[in-house]
Amino acid sequence: MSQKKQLALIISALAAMPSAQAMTDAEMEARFKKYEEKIEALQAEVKELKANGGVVYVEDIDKQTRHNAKQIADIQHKMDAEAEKLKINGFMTAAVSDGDDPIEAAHDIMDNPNFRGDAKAGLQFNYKLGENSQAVLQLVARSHGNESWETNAEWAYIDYGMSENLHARMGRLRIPMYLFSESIDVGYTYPWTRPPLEVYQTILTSYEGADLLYSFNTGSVNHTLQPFVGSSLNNENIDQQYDTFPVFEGVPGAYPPVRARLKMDLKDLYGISLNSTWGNWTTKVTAMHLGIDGSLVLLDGLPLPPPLPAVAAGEVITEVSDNLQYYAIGGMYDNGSLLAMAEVANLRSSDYTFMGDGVSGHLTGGYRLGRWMPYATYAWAQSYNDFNDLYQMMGAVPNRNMKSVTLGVRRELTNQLSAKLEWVNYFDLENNGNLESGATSFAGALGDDANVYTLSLDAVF
Amino acid sequence: MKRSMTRTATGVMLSLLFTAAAQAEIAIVVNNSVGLSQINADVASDIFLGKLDALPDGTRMVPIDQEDGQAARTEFYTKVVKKDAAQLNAYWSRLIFTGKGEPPKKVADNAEVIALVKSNPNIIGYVDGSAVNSSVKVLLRLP
Repeated sequence: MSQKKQLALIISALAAMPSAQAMTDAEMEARFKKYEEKIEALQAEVKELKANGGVVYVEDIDKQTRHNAKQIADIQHKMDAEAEKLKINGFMTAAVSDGDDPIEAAHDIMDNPNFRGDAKAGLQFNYKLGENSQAVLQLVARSHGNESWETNAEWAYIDYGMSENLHARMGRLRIPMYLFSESIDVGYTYPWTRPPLEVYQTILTSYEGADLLYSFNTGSVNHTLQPFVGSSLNNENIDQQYDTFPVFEGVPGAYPPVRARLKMDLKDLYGISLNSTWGNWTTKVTAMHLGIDGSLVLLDGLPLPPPLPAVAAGEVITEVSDNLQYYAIGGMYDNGSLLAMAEVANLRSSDYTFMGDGVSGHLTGGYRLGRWMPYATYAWAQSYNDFNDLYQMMGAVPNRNMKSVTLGVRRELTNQLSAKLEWVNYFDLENNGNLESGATSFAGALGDDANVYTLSLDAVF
Repeated sequence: MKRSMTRTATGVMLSLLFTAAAQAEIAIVVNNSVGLSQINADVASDIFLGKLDALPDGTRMVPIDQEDGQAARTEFYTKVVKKDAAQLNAYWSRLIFTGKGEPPKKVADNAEVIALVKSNPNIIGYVDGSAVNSSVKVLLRLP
């Protein structure tokens, strides 16, 4: 028999049993009971025979008993196999943050203790569709700054495994940009309460499309190559309120405040990521292209002094398009005690209509002392190319400049639950823009720096 | 004099006891049909972390884990993989929640590992050194 066939046999024996052999729980229970009764009856018989000196049959009966016990074990295995077809895993973060200025962002940091911004809960369902194939749905509920919690499918895809080493996935996926981009909701997987905003807050984290996962080894180095393609249309996640709309500055007359919404179609998304591990080392290199069509749409009608016609709600004020190139490289060393990480990203814009070129990165170090791990991070983001049509229209500043120092400590409370206490000092915040989806806008932080304190509990189950 | 000797003897016995408790031998076992006679701890670790799916000679291997709480499991992950239970959970969480891997299947104890390995040429397991018998092949022993 070829190795491949043998492996296939083992896996099918270990994992899902063919559904033709599947029995309902009730049927298995009934069989269980029957065998148990048989064993009990036989045991009673043995006892009686022994008492009566009937040793001749004891051996046979023992054999029968053992046989029945084996059958029970077999049924148990079948039940286990059925249960193994569906796997449910979950994670949860409960956290409280407090900033010395309100920071309008996805994390909803206020100038008083806030339990809502970082809180989230996720459930993942994996259903096995064959030897190497599965359907995966990951639902994540969170509130951001809203009053109610919303549940979103962050992952929803069919994974077709052509072999153990080659998988094709299609559906809703995550962009494999940085070391922890794909598990960004699962706080238990990384040291911080939230990964460095300078690096991890990107315009797009999930998309609809497809990717390939191809794993191979060169010597003792294990690689996973991940090309991906897709899009994310109809993003409407940035609303702005204008008390004085920029284009009407200087125009005589009083204007009511208006709200405008930025709509974005993110398309022509394609890229490739290579993740390599060797002993304690992990590296990740990613290159990605993203096309953007954006439009700024008025949410309120805007009356203008005659003879100018009023601008109706829903009117498109401006349209922009751009092509972005992202490059990222990251490395991590983790020997069980020492944890060291470095990641750098470079963004290039072709037209500078949407955002300028920029670099960002972070350096992180931690050291485990038993159940404790103190850690520190330095992170930065720097933008160039100041002129920007859309930003000028929005009256915002195109740059995204910020730096931060993070000091924290992680403590393992159980093997599935950790607590983290963290202090972040953001500084050099002048000219910080807020265009990127969910990015930290330091609109409320008029000063040059801001402190944020966070306590989080992260669990996996 | 006699008293101090007794004390020394007690001390030696105690330290022997502790040594024995802390140094239960762990053995990496495969089917007797496997050609390879030895692997190092890094290879064993990589196979159990899902980073490698074959022995250095190319033989495909599926790792079999033991249930939480088994002494052999604690020993194996401490000595060979060098991760405690929390670190191991963080490692697998990062793979599970990104659809990139699943931890090895678990069986109850040393005896079940031996039984599986004995009858399957592509299964690799770890057991307490004392559980090893001639029905399986040992690729690595760690004191």
